Amino acid sequence: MMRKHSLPKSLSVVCLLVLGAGCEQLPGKPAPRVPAPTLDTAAGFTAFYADRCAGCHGVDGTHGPARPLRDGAYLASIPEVSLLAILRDGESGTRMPGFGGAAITGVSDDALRAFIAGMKTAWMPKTAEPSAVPWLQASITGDVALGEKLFADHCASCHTNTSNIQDPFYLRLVSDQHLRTSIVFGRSDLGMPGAAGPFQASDGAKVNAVLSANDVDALVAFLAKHRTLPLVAAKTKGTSR
Amino acid sequence: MLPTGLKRVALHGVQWLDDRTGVMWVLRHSMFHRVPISAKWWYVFGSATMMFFTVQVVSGIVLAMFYAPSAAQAYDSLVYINEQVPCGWMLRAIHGWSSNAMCYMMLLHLSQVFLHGTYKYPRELTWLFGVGLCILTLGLAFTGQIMRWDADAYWGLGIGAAIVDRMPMVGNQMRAIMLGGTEISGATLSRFFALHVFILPGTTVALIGLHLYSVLRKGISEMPKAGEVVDPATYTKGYEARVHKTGVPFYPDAARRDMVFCGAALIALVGVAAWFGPMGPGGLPDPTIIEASPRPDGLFLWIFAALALLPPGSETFLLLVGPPVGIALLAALPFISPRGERAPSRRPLSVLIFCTIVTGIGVLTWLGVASPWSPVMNAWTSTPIAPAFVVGRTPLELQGALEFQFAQCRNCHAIGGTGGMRGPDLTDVATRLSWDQLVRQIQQGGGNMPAYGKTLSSVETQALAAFLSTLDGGSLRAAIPGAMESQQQIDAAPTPVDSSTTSDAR
Repeated sequence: MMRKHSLPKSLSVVCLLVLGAGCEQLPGKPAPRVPAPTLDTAAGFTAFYADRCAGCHGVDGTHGPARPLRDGAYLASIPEVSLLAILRDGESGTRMPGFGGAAITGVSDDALRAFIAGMKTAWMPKTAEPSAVPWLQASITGDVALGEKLFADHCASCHTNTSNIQDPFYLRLVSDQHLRTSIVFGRSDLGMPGAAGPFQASDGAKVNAVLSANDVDALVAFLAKHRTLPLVAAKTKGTSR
Repeated sequence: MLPTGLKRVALHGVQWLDDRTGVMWVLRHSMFHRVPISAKWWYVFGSATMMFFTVQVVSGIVLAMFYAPSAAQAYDSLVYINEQVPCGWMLRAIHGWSSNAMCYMMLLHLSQVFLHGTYKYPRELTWLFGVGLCILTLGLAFTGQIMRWDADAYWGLGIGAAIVDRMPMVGNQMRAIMLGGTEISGATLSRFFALHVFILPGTTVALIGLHLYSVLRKGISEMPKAGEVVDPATYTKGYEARVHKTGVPFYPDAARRDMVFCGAALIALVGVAAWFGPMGPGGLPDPTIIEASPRPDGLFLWIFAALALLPPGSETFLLLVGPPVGIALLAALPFISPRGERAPSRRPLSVLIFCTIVTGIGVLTWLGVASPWSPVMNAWTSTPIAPAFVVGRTPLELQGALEFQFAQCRNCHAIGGTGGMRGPDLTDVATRLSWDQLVRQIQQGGGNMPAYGKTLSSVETQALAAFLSTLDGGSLRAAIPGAMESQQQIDAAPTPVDSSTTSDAR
């Protein structure tokens, strides 16, 4: 009598059941499609930021050529309506483009408000305090002489090269508001303090000073004065680091 | 075990069927016909191709029960199959991967037949039917990709329609026939659905029948031996005598190898499907997403690359004339070379042609994956400049980095390995171009690069050049006289691209 090699029926049934049930556990099963996270959540904000903003503002909101957005004081200081206007229409005098409007890739105001909420959720600590100095340029005049003194006392130890922050090429590319924002909030990612200090004296000593609104106006006026200086020929660039 | 009564009924039924149709004779003849004893593992690829086709037919029939071939529902029905139908995703995965496997197995089979000279006398018709099957298989794969009705399908159709549209005199009409109207719509999907599930599979089944019939009629070729030439005057007589004398029955001798190989291929297919899952659907088909970067499936990537790299002046001619001429040459092969040596060692020209084609397709496929000619359209907003290129830069240089992003240089140029590849990587551009050359290149362009002289102001150009002049590759010295002439201090004490060593921010 030949021996049968077929599997017992019960074993076959078990195999089929295991295969059927195991189908859901296999690595190839695609993840269920879930609606994209809304922009007011950290996840939704992060995805939008990575697509539209990271190129200039840095991969994690710092160390980009444009100002860092992962800055609690900055986010706490700028009113939502102003942030919305900047995001929607861009910022004149800078390379910040507007992302709103009716273009194909334009983003609605509601989505931009959600983005702002998401950004604050992700990057603004609850303890973040707004800057004591108004961020918005209110005065168009400032004391240039005071600005020059402040610059020498608080800035010149780092901004040593006269072709640096006072470079008319640079100053013609940025607005007074841009200068003011940079002075008020600094760039902590690059080691530059904001108006709250502390600063560094020319001898390297720490200077625990706080700039007032008047001081900021003066510094902006001092820097802006260099904007109209004659443009020096090239070949003097590329000497940083 | 069947009861004796049932056995008798079944036997009677088979005898009745055989009497009316002669099916047993066909089965006996096809299963037990004698094949050359030398037909061993090289001969399993054709059977495996047919096995994968069978898998596709079976899985395709089940999928068709759930798939909704309408523009509004096709995409959602695939998501439904993936997520709601028990093991539906597995079925889609098996269908998709078996399509790939069928194509590659068919190409292996084709390669073997070409290299072994099997197409020569008297198997011309077998070859011709095989060429037809090759085209149909690729057609099935392409129309299958369209069934996904995602962004890749949409843009793939757009490219196909644009090619058809170039036909002289009848371009518009042919495009309308292809798309079912003037544009990609629900009618297009219906049309391709009919092609994918009725016309192409039906024709394939018919051609497989003819292919197998001609294989049975003229026999499986022997393994080629150097010195054994094909001479139409003597070949058939000699072949039949050899097979009669030393041949073995197809079943079980040769069929055993086919079954082992097909079984292993089937297990591998299920494993790949279970591990990698179904293909797509990808992004939604949305013609307003101008930043889409569609890619065809792997098998067509070489065509994608070839189309992208064709010289513009020759595009229409090569697109419309190339494929028909290529297919005609392939089909005419047994008539161009009907006799002579079959062994690859005695056919260096054939081996050279084969190697050239395989290498060409391989390189084009690699280029298709990388597609360095395509700008990365959203790199300017989504590809950050690494901190190493930001830390320690002057305000003007930082402003230049912004110009670099805003002018969308990044879409074509990489820095630090990220960004587009259409233009050269600029990580060390300062070592290769002097300041004057940088400014001239920005303002006047050159090569494939547009001129930015009218787009950027002189101040913006200065800022951009200032940023570019800092890109010295980290510690590289000037590669040409005049480059980095203002960076002698850096040259004297090169610093690696590392933010920790370049933190003296100004």
